[in-house]
Amino acid sequence: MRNSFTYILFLLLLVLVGCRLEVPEDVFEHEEINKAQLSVTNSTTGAIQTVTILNNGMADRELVLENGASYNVNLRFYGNHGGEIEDMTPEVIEEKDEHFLTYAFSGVAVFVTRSVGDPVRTDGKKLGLNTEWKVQSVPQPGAFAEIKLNHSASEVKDTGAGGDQKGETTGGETDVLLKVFVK
Amino acid sequence: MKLLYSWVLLLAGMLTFSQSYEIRGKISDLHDRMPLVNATVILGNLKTQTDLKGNFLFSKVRSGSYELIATHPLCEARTESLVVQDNLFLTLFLEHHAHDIETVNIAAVHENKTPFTVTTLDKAELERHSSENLGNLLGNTAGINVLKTGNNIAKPVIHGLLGSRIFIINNNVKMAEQEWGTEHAPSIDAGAFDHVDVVKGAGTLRFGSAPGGVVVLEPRVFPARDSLEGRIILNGISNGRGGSANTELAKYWKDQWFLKAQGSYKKLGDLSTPDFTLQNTGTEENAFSISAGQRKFTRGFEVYYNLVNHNFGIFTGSHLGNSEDFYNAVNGGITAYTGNFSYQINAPRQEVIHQIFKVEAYKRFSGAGKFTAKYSVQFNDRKEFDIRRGELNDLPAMDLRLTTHQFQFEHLLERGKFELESGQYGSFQNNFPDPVTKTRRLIPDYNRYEGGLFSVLHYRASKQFTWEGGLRFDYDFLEAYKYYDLELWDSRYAADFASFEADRHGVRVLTHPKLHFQNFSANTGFTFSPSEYFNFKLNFARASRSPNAAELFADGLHHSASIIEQGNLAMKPEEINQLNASLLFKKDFLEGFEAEVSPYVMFSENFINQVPTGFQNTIRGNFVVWDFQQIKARLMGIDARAQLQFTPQVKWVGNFSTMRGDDLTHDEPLIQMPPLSFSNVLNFSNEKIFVEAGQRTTLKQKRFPERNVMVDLIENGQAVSRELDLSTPPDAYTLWHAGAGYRFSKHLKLNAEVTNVFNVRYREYLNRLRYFSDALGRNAVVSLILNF
Repeated sequence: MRNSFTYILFLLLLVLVGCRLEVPEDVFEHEEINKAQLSVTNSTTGAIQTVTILNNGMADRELVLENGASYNVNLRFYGNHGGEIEDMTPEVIEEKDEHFLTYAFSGVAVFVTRSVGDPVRTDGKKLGLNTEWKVQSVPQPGAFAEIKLNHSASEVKDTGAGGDQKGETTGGETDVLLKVFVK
Repeated sequence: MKLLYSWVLLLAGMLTFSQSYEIRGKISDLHDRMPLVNATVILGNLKTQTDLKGNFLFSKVRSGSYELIATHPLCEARTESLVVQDNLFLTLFLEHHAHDIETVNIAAVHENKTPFTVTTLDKAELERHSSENLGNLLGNTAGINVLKTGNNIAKPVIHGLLGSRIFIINNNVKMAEQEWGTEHAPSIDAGAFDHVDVVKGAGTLRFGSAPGGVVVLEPRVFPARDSLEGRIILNGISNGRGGSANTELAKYWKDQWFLKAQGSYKKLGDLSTPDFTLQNTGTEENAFSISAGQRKFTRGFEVYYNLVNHNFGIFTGSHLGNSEDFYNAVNGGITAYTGNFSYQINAPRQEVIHQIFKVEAYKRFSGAGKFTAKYSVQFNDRKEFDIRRGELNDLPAMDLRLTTHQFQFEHLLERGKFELESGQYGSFQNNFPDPVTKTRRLIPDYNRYEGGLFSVLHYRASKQFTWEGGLRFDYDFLEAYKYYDLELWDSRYAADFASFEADRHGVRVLTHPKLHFQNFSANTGFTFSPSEYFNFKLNFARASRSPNAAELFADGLHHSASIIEQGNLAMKPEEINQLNASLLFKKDFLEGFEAEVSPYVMFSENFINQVPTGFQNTIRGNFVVWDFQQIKARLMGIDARAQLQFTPQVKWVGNFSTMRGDDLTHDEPLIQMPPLSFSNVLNFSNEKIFVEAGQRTTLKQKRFPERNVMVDLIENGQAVSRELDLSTPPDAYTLWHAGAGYRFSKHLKLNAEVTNVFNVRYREYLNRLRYFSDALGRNAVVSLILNF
């Protein structure tokens, strides 16, 4: 009985000593997109506006859209992991069948077309990274553009009424939601 | 002289030969020291019996050597060699309970002698529902509800309390398995057990302090005879188009050695509501257990191993991002991800492997009581797979490995009037969140050391009145390494917990919290049974528990719930004071009527509750932030049960339960309190057949906190704010079930049961997926049970 008790005590001590807590390394969400960049080029003048949106979802500037003007718009996504910037856009393109971008506008009328060179999913719908915006009204005070990257939607539509290609999704998860004020 | 000497010797010899002595004695029970009446004592060719005080007397016993044999009904005989050369007083102890184990098994009665309310699911009940998980099994009992994430993940809720407030005891081992998670189901194969007892409320202190109650899963105790037996149960399940199998083989011997092995497997494809098949709701489970040992009344030991492996799919339509996604799903009107039945289980899914190894030994010492020593180790590996991007798609988004060592040493002293049970408990737990996931740790690396002492006295003042009181003290030390965002650490914790800071690097800070908790718990109660027709129980308990890892450390986006969770390092132990009562009334009406009413009330100054406190804007959208807080809370309710045996074959059973919970700090109802429900079951059964039909009605919960969220959307080119209603509970509903069974022979039975007979569309308030789809439609289970 005494020997059994000794063995049990020894086993317990072994367990306690052997399981000392190690200092873990920090981990960053490797597939988390925490930065986006919107490049908006006036088709006529060639002037470029670059808007950056960081992890708190806020854009660093307002976007200037002129009534009647057309713009080529390009979107890129980045992951910022402890100071290291990683371009996540190729991953999004590689998994284009799982992703889809939608565009919506409040306080300003914009006709959206998905560009000729935009990545095409296997269902024939365009991903929406590259678009053309035709502005059809003067932006009202407080107008903004909302761009959403959806992951694993059950259904997507890239063309709506009158050929407008802002896009719609059913289901899925929002990976990125960008809100850019427009003036 | 020589002649005189010879005459003296002859006379001495004659006197010696004719001298007789008195042999007196007392015979008592070995462990409770109660006198044994009418025990038979044989001394040579003399025979007598003990009187009412256990005493016996042989008045004229000649000197010499004898064999003394003492016997008593239901005792093992005791034989002693005796040399009689003087008057003697003998004290003998007989083992009175050698046959008790078999008696309990045959009678199949699980008697509750405590002042606490205990509900039992017996072997027949477990056998009939062997395809169900533990949570769903318990949910049909008054006062016990189920918190679900879909149908495959179900946690018991007792009187509104769940998670760390309920202990699950698996063959005398307290389960340790990330029970803090509302979407973490218990890793239990209920079909492996003989019966399940649920102690409602903070009753037993033996395993710690559980304010909600304890679910005790007990294996079978084998009788003292040589036998080999087995059982096979095959279930066909319609909803999910699958089935399950459960097999068991047991060999036991007359000297109470036993060896038992049990295994089960279950596979279901996508589940269906009345209107849709829900994509990715399949499940695959397998379990195995083996135990061996000897279980005599005076001594025994057991070695036990249990493995449970679960793989659950999570409904794809519930996998959402931010509040806007929620709004679109809830208000869209059409359940997404429906149709296309499949057996495949893809992300999002949970994969959990739980293993238990236990060694337990006990011995009863004459006069000193029963000593029990037990050691167990558990390994819980929980992986949660999310829909991820790129090469990370095959990696889990969370991989938690929990290792728990438990050691318990107990002493039971039994006497005629009382039992005193005391013990000490030690535990070491390590949590390792594997960084191979390449995601931030929701729960950090930690070691947890616990030690406890308890003592419970059960006193039988008379046949009518018993009293029980107990005390327990636990000490809990938790050491962790955790990373915080610098902004969060500086705003919430830096001032009060500066000593925990280990290192700062960029926008992150490494902390090394060391937390100490002390918990004092106690209970007292009595049972009063003036007759077999009336029983009254009253007990008061104070249960104190340490905060769990999520309540302390949760930090960040909880993907599967689409909320941001925030723990609180400053959390103190939660203390709940509760009063439970039970009135049981029986009457000889028809073949027997009984009714039981059990009211209860609980109060806490530091109840741990999770409440939404605001929003956080991120690049992924807005998320509601849920903080863990400590509040003043009050919970109270009533459970009731009635049973009428119309004839020996026909029985009606009714259940009723209602409760209310109040957040007294914020002056509002507590969230997720079970609504009022009642059920009726009519049952006909004889030796060959049983037929049953029943209903269960759940009313709409009218008391709930308003926790709606305003969501910004764009409609027709304009920004609008819409209210996302997360608060309003679903409507009332009634579900019917019917079942029947036929016993072909002693060995073969066939059962069939249909739940939700009328394929009713309904949503359960305590189902986290209720926002996205209706609950399950009709389900038919056909079971073949073979005993050999």
